[in-house]
Amino acid sequence: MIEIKNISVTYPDGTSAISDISLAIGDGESAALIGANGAGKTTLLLSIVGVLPAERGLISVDGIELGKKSLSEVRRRVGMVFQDPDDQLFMPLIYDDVAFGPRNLGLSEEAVEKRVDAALSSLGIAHLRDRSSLRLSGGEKRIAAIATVLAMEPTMMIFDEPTAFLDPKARRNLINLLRRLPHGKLIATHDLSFAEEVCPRAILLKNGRIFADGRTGELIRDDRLMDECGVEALR
Amino acid sequence: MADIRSKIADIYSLEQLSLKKSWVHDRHPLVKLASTFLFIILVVSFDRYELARLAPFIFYPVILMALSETPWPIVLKRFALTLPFCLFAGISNVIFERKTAFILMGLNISVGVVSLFSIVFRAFLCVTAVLLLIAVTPMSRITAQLRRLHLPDIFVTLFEMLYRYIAVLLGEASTMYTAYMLRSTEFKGLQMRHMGSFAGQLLIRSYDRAERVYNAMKCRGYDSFAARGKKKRLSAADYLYLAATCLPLIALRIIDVRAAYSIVF
Repeated sequence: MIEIKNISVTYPDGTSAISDISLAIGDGESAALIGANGAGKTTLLLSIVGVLPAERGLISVDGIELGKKSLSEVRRRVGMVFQDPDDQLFMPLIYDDVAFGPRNLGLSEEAVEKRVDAALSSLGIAHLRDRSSLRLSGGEKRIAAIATVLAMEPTMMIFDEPTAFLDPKARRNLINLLRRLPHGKLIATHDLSFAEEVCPRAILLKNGRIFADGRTGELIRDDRLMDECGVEALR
Repeated sequence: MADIRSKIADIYSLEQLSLKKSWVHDRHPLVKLASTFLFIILVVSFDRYELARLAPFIFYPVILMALSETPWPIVLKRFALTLPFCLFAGISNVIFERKTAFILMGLNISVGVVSLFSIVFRAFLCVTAVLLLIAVTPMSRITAQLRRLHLPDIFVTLFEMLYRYIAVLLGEASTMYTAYMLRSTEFKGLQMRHMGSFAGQLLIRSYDRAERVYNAMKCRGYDSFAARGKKKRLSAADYLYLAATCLPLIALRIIDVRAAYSIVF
């Protein structure tokens, strides 16, 4: 479970990125984070995993409060999938990319291999194990990036624009995959139909603040609400 | 674009060989690092005219390549990249050191030519030894071992990042270059007057990208201290590898093999 209480993040130039945000995502719950560009979606995700430290407020994951000492434990429990899979795939082989996290956990090579194989098999990409990410399609890269996070065995997963750059078939595969994953999920997206299919709950952000929080199907069809957030409603 | 991507894949193809299985691959990174380091120290310790004494050192890379089944062309291709630098370093010797060293088939071979060959051969041996180390040991294990040897963390991290970001830098450069070329139909290649802004943009973009990659690494538990990994004990086979590589090398350095040449030939 992720609990966020009154967090604020300000960039070094003084710009307030998010302010006074409070929300909770339960175990197994899927929530979409929707908002215009610059609304603070990515900043919120990065602050949950401690990449962008919040100057005020409190973040806790499974009851563990985010702090310097608990940073690695929080990052083990919350897996973040970045917008661009190329940011996440930097090793010579997919195997090494997926093994990167478990190795950092200090697991033995046998345990690492088990985790890698389990992550790749569960996503149906075991055949990519010994391939280089440079030779994969956009859809394959996206799934491989998810595998790199799954191998850490997180309890919660957060995604930044997971459908960006995907063709319709790859997007459909991703939707089916995310629906199968039992983890709690917080997904920042502009893709409203995707949000509706994967997340029963949606959180609307506007200028770094929560503007609305409710059922995805209702929020994304509310013209007035979506217009105020700078997002086009789904028709 | 595809060409650049295949070039990037080519850069890392040597490291992909390190995932193969062989007796050499299975050895502890410490013994492989130690033998490579000793080999380089011994090779550079010879006088620059001692080509004859250097010659037997070729057996180290040859045997290692055979045992690890590392393809010759991959190693030679990479050595070829360093060849111009070696030639540049040795060419002045040919010009300034004209004293005859020996006569070969009626040709006067000067001391400078011997020195040039010595530099190129020495570079070949050292570069090949390092390339072989990379080909038989995953980079993550090499850097973890360097950390365990208490090399300054900042140097090892810089080395790791530099190695990883070659692909990032090339990828960014190729994207920018493609975008540039698509809007400059009447020009061939990057114009001089755009070089400055191109390089500046490349620096900013690659810095930005590098930061995102680093964030992704941190999110999966990366910290340079933990990157030391678990300490693994040396096995009997590791000691055997160390003895089988280092003892002959030390012997070749101590014994003057030129006497052996005169007996054989």
